[in-house]
Amino acid sequence: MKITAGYWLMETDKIFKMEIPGRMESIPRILCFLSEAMEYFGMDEDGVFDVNVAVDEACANIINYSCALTQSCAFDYSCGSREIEVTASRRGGLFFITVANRGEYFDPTRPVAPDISSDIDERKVGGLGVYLIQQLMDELRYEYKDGIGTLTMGKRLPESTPV
Amino acid sequence: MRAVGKYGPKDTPEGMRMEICERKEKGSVVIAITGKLDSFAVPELEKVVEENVSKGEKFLVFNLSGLTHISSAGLRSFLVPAKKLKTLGGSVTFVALTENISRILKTAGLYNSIFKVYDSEKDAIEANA
Repeated sequence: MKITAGYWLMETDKIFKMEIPGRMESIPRILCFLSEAMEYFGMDEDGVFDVNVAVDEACANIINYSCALTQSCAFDYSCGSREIEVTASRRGGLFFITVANRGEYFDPTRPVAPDISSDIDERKVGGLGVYLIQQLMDELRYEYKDGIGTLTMGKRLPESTPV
Repeated sequence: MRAVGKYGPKDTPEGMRMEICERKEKGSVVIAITGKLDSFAVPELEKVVEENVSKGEKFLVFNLSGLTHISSAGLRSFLVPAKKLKTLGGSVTFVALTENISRILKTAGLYNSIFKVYDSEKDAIEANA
């Protein structure tokens, strides 16, 4: 699978990139890969935490929905080896992560309204993942082209980080 | 505390994995989770929680002082037993949350509303006794 990061990332000084099978066990490895990238770009501790949460959710959604929604996947054992491509880079004062995969359209930038106020008896259990991505990231953008979905997430770097 | 297990791919560094320990005191089961509760690790926590609930434990106290990452699936793994235990007269409570974990719980509308948060295990255990 060849996925190219969006044009707006091309001014960056360095792009970290990994391709990894679209399986849940890849998520700890993706977070590990990102920690190196965030250290390189000087992300602060809170930012590292937020990016990890958002990327975990974005990848889990792709694995659970984007691939699972492809009907043929149910009969296709290669489904689990479908790759997710993750890139990390910087443009200006923002740290950017792209998460891309070949699969069904799944747009985590669309507004969601999860239940965050009902009491315990009424509280719905789902819908928090996309909400967390939207709350924790400073920029979000989703593109779907030729069967490939690319989610770009931007997180502000600390002001002291040299550009 | 009894070590229940360490979870996560073996090729990731120790700090990137999740570790669970537990002990019982005065009717509460204290479960300490350290490391990363990412989407991959969540089913392991769910197993530990289910085992305790099926043994008839009603009060689960989670010490999250060493938790460095959480996912929405991780939040669900606390919410599902909390709902069940409430119907049985029990509860799920949290102890020693870091600022970042507190922030996520607040964002999700779970902090001190669905889950009561205590400063120490002792306070949580006494509240359950």
